[in-house]
Amino acid sequence: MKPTRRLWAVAALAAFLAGVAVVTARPLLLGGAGLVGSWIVTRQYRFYRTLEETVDALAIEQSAARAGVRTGETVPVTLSARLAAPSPLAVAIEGGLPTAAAADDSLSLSLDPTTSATTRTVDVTWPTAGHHRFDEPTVTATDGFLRETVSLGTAPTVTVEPRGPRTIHVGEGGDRITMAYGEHEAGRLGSGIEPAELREYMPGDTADRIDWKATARLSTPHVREYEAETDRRTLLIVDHRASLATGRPDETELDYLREVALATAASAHRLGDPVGLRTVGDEGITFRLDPTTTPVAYDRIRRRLLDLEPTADPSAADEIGRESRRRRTPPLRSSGFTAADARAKRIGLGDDDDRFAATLRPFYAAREGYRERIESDPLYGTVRRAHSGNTEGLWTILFTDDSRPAELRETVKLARGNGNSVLVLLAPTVLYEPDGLADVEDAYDRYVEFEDLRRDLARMSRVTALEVGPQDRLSTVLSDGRARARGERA
Amino acid sequence: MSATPTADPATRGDRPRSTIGALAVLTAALALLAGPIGAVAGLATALTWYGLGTPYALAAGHVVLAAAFPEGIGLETFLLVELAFVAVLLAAVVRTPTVLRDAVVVLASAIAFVGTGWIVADSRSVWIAAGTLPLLVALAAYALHRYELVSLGLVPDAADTPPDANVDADADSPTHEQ
Repeated sequence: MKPTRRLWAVAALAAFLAGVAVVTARPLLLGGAGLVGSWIVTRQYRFYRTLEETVDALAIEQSAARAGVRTGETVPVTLSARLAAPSPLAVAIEGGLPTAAAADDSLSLSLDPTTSATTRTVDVTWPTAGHHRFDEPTVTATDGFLRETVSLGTAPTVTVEPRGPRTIHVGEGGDRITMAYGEHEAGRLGSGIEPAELREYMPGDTADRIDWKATARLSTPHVREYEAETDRRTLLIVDHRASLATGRPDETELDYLREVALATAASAHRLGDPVGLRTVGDEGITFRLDPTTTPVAYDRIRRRLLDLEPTADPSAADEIGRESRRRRTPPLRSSGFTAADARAKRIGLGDDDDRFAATLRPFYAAREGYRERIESDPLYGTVRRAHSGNTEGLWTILFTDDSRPAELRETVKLARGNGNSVLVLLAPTVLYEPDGLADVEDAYDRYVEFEDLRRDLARMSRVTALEVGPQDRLSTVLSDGRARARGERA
Repeated sequence: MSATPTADPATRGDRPRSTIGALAVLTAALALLAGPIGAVAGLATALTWYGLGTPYALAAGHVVLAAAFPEGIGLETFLLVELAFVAVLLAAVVRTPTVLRDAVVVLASAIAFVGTGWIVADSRSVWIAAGTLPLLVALAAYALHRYELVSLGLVPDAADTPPDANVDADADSPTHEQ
């Protein structure tokens, strides 16, 4: 227990009486000093007894509305105190907010001798990730002459998780793939260092290919074949247009695709494959680096990916445009009918004058006009320019979303030209929209539409199409689909 | 702290009859023992108690009373005077729920402090008694303080202190586990 100024004043009074007793040689004043000392000790004893009873009767609880939050979120924290019986002491209670928490108001209570219960709730912001344990609330009790502070009450823990992609799902139709990128075999024999097989010497083989040890062992000239070594030239094309900003803060489509792109680039770098990068904004290419194996280039790719932000949509009607596109495109998606198809069909009609051909000809002509729109698409234009030179053996990896399915189909067709392989990593918009899962049934229907698009793409030869999304939201959508399927069977 | 209670009745407006009665007895006793000056000392005690509280009343009463005995005071008179003042102290605790224990504390501490003061002053000198008395009060107060800490569990056990507490002084705050 700590004395307050008032008690120090009383102690000073006792010392004054003792001093006056010495100066005046009056032992009677020592009696006064002794009684004042007795009053001090009695006061201490009574304070201790009252404090003990108060602590026994006091129940303090501090609790957060949620035990798990994301960084920057605000959660109400409640501090409540209840006394079984009113205490003659004045009690002040200070909540034990963790250091990493920020509150506008102080989390504190006071119980005066006439109140026995009180509660206070304040909004607390959690800017730092981690496990934050509250301190026990501190109770300060005083009777005016003495003061004591004790720790009492519950000390909950709040787990603050950082924003950003956590469990990234990369797969097909909800099934996770075990390896999207890894060691690749050339699948043919040639020069290399990995022995593949021994074969007998044939006319035409050069002498330096003869394996002399095998020849000595087998008595006839033999040649050792090796696995051909290849470098897979990899080009990452990352879409960061305005539509990729869909999602909660730090959990946008671009954030998820960025993580996958970083992992892909790191894997290519580890395997020694030349890796390049194009980033595509709403106005066109925003970054260009041709495939190369130098560490400097890899660092540039990595930095560029980390700095990537969604660009602003120049049309200034992004939301409306995307929504209308989404509503408009399903017929194209389901049919897979593209501008190239339209042109082929129109040419196929020839110069027939029959009514059927005459009816179809304007329809196909209109469809061809649609091609112009696709060619003005930044992603399509980027792929076209990237594939304008020597693209043999180029593996193109596209990171984009499903908001422009027709353009995407054309882009993938273009990228897989010249015998090249394409990997499409698609972010399903429905899994990112903050209120996308408000109506789970509608979300499931939209996911099925996305899956149709992904399968359309995956059916193309040399094309692999995978979805990239948050695992938890995908699981929610798929569980609804399974529940619906069970309901239909029943 | 929104409210600072004062358990002292004289300063919170609560005027217990027991203390008022004790003050009346004190005034009468002092008047009998020291005459009119004793009555004045009693009234001074009562007025100071009314305005400032019990300890100041005790001090005021003793200071006025010292003037009543210019030639010194005998043991019997001293005991009677102090007994009257102890009645005021006792009256302050008579309405507490633990009156018996509080009364024991009042009597024990009063006997110890006043008795020690008188004995030392009588056998040695007043200035030695004046040095001994505050020391005795401080020791008693400190002993009660330590008893309270131990009783309420406010002293950390040695087992609760991490062995490397001093070594790890620069570590992160224990409330923030990343």
